[in-house]
Amino acid sequence: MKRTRASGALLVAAALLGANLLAQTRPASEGRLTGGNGTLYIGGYPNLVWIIDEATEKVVGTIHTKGGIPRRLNLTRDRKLFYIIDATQEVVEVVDIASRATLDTFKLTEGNKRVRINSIEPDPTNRYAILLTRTAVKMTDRVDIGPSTLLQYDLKDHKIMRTIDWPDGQERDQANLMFSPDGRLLYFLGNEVLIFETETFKQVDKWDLSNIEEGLGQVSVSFGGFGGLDTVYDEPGFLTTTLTIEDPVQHRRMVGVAHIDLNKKDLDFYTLGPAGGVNIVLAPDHKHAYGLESAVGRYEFWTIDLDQRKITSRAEFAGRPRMALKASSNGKVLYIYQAGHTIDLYDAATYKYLRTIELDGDVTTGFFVVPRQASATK
Amino acid sequence: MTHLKPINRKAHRVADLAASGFNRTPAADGKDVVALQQLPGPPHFPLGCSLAFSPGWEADSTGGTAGLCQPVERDIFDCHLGCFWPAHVPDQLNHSPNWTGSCATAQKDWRKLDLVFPG
Amino acid sequence: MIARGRLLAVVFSIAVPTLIVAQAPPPAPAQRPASPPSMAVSDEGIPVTDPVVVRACGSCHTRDDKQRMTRISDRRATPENWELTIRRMMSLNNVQLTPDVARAVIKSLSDTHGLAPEEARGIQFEAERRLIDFAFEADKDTNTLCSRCHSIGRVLSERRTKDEWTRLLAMHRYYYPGIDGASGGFRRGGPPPTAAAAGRGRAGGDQSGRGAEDAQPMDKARDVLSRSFPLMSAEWTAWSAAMRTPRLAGRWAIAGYQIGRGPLYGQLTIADRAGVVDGFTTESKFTYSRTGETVSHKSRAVVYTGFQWRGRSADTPDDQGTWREVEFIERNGQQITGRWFTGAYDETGIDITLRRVANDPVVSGTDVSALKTAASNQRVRIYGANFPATVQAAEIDFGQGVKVSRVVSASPDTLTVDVDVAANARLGPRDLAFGGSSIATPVVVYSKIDAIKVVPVAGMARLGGIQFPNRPEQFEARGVSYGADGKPGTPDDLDLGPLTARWSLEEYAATFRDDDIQFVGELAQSGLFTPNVEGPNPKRSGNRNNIGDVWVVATYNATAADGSVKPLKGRAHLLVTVPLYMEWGSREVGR
Repeated sequence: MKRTRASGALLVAAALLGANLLAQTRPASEGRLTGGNGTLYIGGYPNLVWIIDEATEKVVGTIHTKGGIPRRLNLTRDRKLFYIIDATQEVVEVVDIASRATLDTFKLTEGNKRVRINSIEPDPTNRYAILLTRTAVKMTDRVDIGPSTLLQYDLKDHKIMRTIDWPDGQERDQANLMFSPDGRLLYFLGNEVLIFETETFKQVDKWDLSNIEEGLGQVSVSFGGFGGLDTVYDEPGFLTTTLTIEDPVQHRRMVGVAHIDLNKKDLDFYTLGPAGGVNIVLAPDHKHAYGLESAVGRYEFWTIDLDQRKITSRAEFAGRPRMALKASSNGKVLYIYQAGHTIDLYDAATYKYLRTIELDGDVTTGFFVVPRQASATK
Repeated sequence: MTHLKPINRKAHRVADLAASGFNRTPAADGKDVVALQQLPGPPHFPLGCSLAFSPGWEADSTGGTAGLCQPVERDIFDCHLGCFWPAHVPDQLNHSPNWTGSCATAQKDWRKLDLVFPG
Repeated sequence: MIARGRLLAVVFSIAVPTLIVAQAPPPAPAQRPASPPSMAVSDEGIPVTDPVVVRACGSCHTRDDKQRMTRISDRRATPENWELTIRRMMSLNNVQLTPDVARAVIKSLSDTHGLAPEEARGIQFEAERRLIDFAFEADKDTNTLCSRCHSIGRVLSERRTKDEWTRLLAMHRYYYPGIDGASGGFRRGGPPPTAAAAGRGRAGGDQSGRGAEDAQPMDKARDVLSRSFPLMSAEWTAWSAAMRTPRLAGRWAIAGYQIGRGPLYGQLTIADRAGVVDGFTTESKFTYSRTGETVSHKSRAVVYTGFQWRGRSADTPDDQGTWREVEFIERNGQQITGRWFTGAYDETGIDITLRRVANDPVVSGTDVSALKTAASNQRVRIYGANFPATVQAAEIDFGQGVKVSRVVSASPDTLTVDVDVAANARLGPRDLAFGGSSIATPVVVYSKIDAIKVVPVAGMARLGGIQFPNRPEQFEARGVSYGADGKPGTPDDLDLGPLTARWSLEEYAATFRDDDIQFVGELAQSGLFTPNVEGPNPKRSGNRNNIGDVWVVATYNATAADGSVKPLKGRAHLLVTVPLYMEWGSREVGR
């Protein structure tokens, strides 16, 4: 049953009339606009990950999780494996996407000592993983909650190899982690990027993003969020994300795009406009990015030309609270997802609502758009 | 703007606007858009209503309902799995691991959700 | 539409089986998790000597040689909070208790580890389930942090040692791991702000230095709560000595008020309840003065901590207590105040004051709440008890400028009088004295109705009726006089009591495309708002629920007699929102 979006289409049409868009029109001879020929993945209730063919928008398979309701999906850099954390945050399951088989499950919980795994980052060779954990022990008449701990965990032997000391001894509740492509360095991404070597996990470098230039003001870079980092469209070693600046003269908060070169510790950025609540995602051509701004009662799509370094169009659309955005593998379709059992498709050029993919269960994880690669993994 | 003194009436109006906390946000097409604004003073929330505004249970951060999930049933699995509203929505980890047991798609099957009486 | 009584019947039959289990032995040792040596109870811990409590709780909460039990001895709380704890022990900690034992434990701990009257008075609203505006002003951050998920009243109903507050926070984090982050905000989620950022970002604000700035929100709250609500207090020490079963048996005069229905008056008899420690039964009859409708009511109650009355209606042997009673017994044993309430969300309530009746006259109140200047023969009914058969007008004293011209009729509980108010009578409240009894401000003197207001000014309703019960909201229009200074919003303004108005809903334009009034529900001319049903509404854009925020507008056609010539309008904000999917209400207290 498809939902009608009559009111939404009228509103977008009105917005298009009023706004000054650099819209590209499609030739009438083109067939149905689809997102490309990649594959979409999203986890759902009660215990599966749906595999959706991007061209036909049909579910072509499911991965059944043995660890329970999937809650957090982590796609490996080579796009071959998912590391899945379940809804209790205690079980990790490693799944091979091509064969849809569970390769491994493990947990650190023992008896009354629960170990909750908040995030996991496997090294590029899948020999070990960095786990962000916290213990919660149930005793007879009380409980004890441990500190946030970083562990290096051997994936073959299922053993904790070491506890990694927090930089500056400062415990953190979140760690957006990323390995360098060769696995030699581990980055803690935040307003201070901390760089560790991966032999003994000693901090070897630091890069303070909050203080990159005189006169620039306070900088805040965003990494991750629910579902974690999505680096599918970024080149290895690079990150494109949003940053917010509060300049010291006008005390004005502005949002911008940051292109981060982790190897060179170089941050290229530019501001786009006043800071609101915008979520920006990269398009696969690396020349565009798309933005979704949400405020109570007002939702907008943005298109950002990364070469021209500016927003080339913005338009209001009939959105809803709690949306998340991804660009399709051909960059022509915008996917709106997050919770519920639907993924809505919008035309990236005109922001017109196209149609909805309906699943037969509610989704429980983030959403991945994986372009077709030369070495077909489908 | 604090070091500039208005010297004509238009400048006065601009200064007044700044003082009253209204942002003027020019859109890309040049038209002025006044973003939705709250008057000075926080919004009112009835006693016992959740003050966790992601986006909110009884009320959103502006004290109204426009920011709540559309509909609430769309996102209710998320709320349940994350035990996000421990006093409002049955929590998956403790009291109600099977609350959604007969309900794959909450927007369709919401009638199968029960009122839970913990303990 | 689910009838509330029926829903409760369903609930009761589900809830009870989980409690009715044959007295089970404590869990086998193999099932209990191994634990490090027992933590020490604090020095100030209050001993637990009741063998019922020791037996029910002692397999996990060990006792030391001073009869102090771990956790339990370091805490004092209201009966409602003790009940929530015991229910959690049963639902999440494998404790099995029969209902009788559970109730006995709640009673025992409320008495030996409860709040003193002075400690409970300010937070009675919590047990009374009263939706007022309240915040813990002493620390706004703590107020916000704890209010993310539940009423702050629940927190302020506790007294704990610092370690015990710490353990309370740990318990939250164990059961709800997300509480460290966005949903609960217990922890910041990252390293503390750098010194530079802290300095820039908080210009001129925090001068306390990095130490305070670095504290996690939960630690800051723990410190505030430990300081403000420690385990021991002078009030508790004193009350522990003075506390006893209150002497309540006898006659009482009822003065009540129900929003939307007006004042009610009647008589109530309290009797001791055989076989129940601190137990009482009541029988009463009261009349709504506006309509003359008479209601008979019976209840059973238990008094906790020597002053906390908790009752449930017992109109029939099978009555599941559809009305609950939460009352505060004054130490002088002469007055009891509180609230009787019902409804799926306890939203329908009567504010109750009971005054002890012996042999002398007792005055409870009047039917009208405002008397107009320069007007004669204003009819007033005075309610109470023990009124003599013959009464002289001069014996009834309202104060300056107000004269009772005639006693129309007199019965033991009602006097009907005609009252003249002088043209130059001062505007303001009047206390009523008669037969040696007096009450404060049953009426005010006014010259004209300057405005009307709607109460509650911030209302809330919840959708329901298909799968879940709804929460209606009753509004009332009340007259306002600006008082002698004629200025609105000044201390001499007068509340003139309820009046009949025309009701309507208006769109509250929170967003530019608001269409809430089409969906939220119906406002009757009685001022009762009944919300729409829950669930996604396919007729609404985006399949939204029938939620919304609207204005509730009252229009009063003032007449020359009121002193006004144009219609008066007042309005309130109404939030129509989603149901609660969990029902935490007290089930065992008062049984």
